[in-house]
Amino acid sequence: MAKYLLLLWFQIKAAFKSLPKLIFATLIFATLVFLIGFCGTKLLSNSKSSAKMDIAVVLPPDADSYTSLAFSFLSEIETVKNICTFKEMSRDLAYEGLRNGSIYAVILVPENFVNHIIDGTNTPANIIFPRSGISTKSMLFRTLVDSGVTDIGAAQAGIYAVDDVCNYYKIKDGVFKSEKLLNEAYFSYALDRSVYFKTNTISTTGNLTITEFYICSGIVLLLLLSGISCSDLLKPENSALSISLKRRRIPVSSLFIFKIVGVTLVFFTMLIFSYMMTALAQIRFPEISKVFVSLNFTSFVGLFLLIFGVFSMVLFIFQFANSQSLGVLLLFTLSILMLFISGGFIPSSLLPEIVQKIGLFLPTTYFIKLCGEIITNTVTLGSFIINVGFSGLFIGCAAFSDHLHQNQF
Amino acid sequence: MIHVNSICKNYGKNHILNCASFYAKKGECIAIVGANGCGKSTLLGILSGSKKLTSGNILYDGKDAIKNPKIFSDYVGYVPQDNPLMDKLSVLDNLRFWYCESTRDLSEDLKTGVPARFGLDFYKNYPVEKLSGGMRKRLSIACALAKNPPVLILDEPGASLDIICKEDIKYYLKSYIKNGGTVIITSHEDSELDFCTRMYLLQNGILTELLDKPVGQKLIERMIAFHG
Repeated sequence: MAKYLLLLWFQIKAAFKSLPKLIFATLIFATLVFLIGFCGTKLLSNSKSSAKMDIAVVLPPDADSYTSLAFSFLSEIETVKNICTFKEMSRDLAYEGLRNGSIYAVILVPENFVNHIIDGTNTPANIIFPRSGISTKSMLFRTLVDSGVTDIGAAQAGIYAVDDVCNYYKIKDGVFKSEKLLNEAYFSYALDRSVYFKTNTISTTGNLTITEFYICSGIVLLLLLSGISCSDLLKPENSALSISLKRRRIPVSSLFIFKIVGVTLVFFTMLIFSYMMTALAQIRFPEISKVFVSLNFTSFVGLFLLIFGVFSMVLFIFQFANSQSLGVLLLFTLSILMLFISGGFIPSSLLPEIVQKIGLFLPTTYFIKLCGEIITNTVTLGSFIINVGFSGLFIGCAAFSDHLHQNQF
Repeated sequence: MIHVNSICKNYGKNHILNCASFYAKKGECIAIVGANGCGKSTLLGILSGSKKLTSGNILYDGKDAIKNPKIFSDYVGYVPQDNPLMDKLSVLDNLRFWYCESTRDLSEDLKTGVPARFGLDFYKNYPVEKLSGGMRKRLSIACALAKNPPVLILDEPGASLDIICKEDIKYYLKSYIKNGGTVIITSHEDSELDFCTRMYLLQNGILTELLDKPVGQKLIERMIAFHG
């Protein structure tokens, strides 16, 4: 047992002896990762793609106050407001806007539009889309209008049905009262369509915001690239040391585990230190508290396992390559490739389906997932198990690889 | 002391050792010579227990080491061609690791034992990666002798070392043999072969004793003759 403890202690000691070099290299890689993350965030939050639709409303020359009120009411409804901006303008300006692409659609409101709705005449409003073809946004607006028309149709049917019932039973006073009540009821229920739906945010980055998403993939990329600076610690040992350890009945897998523990502890300490510094900086810069996440104990355990998992993979790559320089090259190439397939640069929902399927088999996918759970304090047992499983698999494969290299003739 | 009986080693279809047999007594130095790639290191790896053999057996003081591999670590100190050291650690840490299962006292040995004899006490706080090749080899030998084994197996200890270092190691090996230790050595150096008590030639997997212990040109001629 003493020899194991001593070997573990020496590996931790060797890793911490490399601390200044690792800090320096990590800072360089962090800058690189920050630049990649910054570009990615800019790409995903492109302002043009998230802009609202401008809809031109052309009112008749003698528009009654009901019509103007109805459109201002409509444009203030939350579901409509999030998608469209109604702009009242002349017919000529609206058509010009349609031609130059600044307007998505034009609504031509007929005379006595609201009065005709009330009295049942129902003169339709004309909606004009650009000739150049219907875009996704135009279709979205069309759907919005259709659902609004259906709502109003249902409201009218209800009101007229009550009118007919009142007339049939000769309740003349009831017609006005019931119309008033039903109008209020329909407007509050039918037009406020949000009450029918629960809010579900659908994002290319899953449950994470774009910033959180790039922080996660950035941390994983940083850890993977840091494997390059740890190559001295994780490179294959000379065969003489492996042979000598074997003679002392110390399995090479124990040496691998101890090496990974050493490097993991160094990076865990660095990250904890950075975390504590950020926590303390809140006192001086209170605005940090808006983005600062207080991690719980489970998240810290998750963080340790994440680092351990990543460095298990790094060690396996070095053992497989059986050379420090080839290992560095292989690690760099695989890190970029695997992270891309796992959706670390461009969210996987935007990648081809085949790439998404391949990504499900890559450890980097689960590293990013675990990282996301860590920064949102939602680490699950499943993620723990998957990460530990991957670590075990990599250490096993590294030991097997070493065995093959040792027995090569 | 050591009896090696008909050991064979195959790597796939390659027969590296073909029923090799020899013995070594206490206080003897056995040299194994042969061309590069003839299987000398494989033979030493088998004798030290770090490589498995295909057939045969090895007895240390009459105990079958194949059946009980612990005998290898109890009896043999092994110095492979490369140094089995942890480069990132200091000389002292490396020694501590190899001494941790030994009954010997490292601090005492750093004053009067093998490490002191090789001048390692002066370098004890140096990281191994900063040591010269000679000092590394000295440290490897000191580590191999941590458990005070009766047999020392060295695989080309003088390779790429300067004359002073070679002489130093040779001088120590002589004293080790004089004190009853058994040395098995592979080498291409005449100076390391001339103090051996017996010599074996390994060629085409066959181990043959060279009774006249030839060195220099004579050895080369013998090897060519054997090959031809």
